[in-house]
Amino acid sequence: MNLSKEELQFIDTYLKNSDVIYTDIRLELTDHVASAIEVELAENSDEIFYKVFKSYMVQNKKSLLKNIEVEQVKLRDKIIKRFGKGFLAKEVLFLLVLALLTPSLLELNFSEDILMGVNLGIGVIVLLYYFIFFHKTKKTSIGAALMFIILIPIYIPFYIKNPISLLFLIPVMVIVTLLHKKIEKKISKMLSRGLMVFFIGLFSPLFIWFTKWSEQFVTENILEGYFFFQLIIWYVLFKTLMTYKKELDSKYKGVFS
Amino acid sequence: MSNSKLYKGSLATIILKLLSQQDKMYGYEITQKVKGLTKGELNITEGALYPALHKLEAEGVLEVEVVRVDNRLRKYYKLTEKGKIETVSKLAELEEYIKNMQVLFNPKFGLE
Repeated sequence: MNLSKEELQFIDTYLKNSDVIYTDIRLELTDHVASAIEVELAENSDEIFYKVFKSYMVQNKKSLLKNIEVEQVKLRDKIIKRFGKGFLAKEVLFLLVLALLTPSLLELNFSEDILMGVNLGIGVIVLLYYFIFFHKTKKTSIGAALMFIILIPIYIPFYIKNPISLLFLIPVMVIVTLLHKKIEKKISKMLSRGLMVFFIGLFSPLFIWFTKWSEQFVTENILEGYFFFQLIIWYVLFKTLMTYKKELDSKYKGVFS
Repeated sequence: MSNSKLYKGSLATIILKLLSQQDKMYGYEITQKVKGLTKGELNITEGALYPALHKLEAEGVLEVEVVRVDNRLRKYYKLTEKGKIETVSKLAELEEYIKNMQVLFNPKFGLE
């Protein structure tokens, strides 16, 4: 006996209210629950949907919803890793060498306004690309996890005046993220977030001091090298987005239209 | 997986073996197939099955096809070319493991 649209909607809404927020995960669990209920209803024709649903959830809810959050974190890490691996592609390594050499070989003299303008322009294009091409699938776990890499380059323009300050920020961010990962399972979410805010608060004055102190070492070559490096980051980002767009298109062909 | 922790390490191989016998399968179908084949001895829970399926998919061992069935969407899993090769090696690995276990726990059987 097949479940009606209303009954399927009921399962879907129940899962949504149980924090299964991503469409792709929910559609799979809805089908799983619906299949189990259909079998039960076929075997016991006297039973009604709501009773079977309730009894199924009492027995299986914990197992059904287990690991969803862990999986989302794994997926986010995988996407960030793929983005990082993008820098090891042959053409990117070539561009990196070019980024290091060009400022010392050519007199480019970009003004700060041009650098900022180009970055903001590309930033807007990336965001538009994401919202136009992923808007159907942004509610999937992949679509949501991609937001993390979209956000990384948004911070690029902040360091246009002094890219050297990143030498302080990047290792600190890496250490804080690794520490956070190590302790987040052992302590409550609230405490884990509180510690993150504490660390950021602790390092902020040091970061401001380092930024001011290192300004004396910033040269034209460093600024131009950083500009090329930004373009490389945008290139890798677009490449990663296109890979996932292709993946989502083939997986959910016609599903989200 | 509810019965035993011993089965946990073999879950991926179980999934691959089932998919090598059938073109494509969905989550619930896999749990029922295992339950049926083992006469209810082995129950794969949702909490163990889906992370395993998603991991194999992320590794490129499985590919996904989403189709509309009975008013809802169903996610089918099937082996990729890489998955077919992986299945052969995983099954060989498991057979070797079973053989070694038999030698360890049934020494007479092993000597014969």
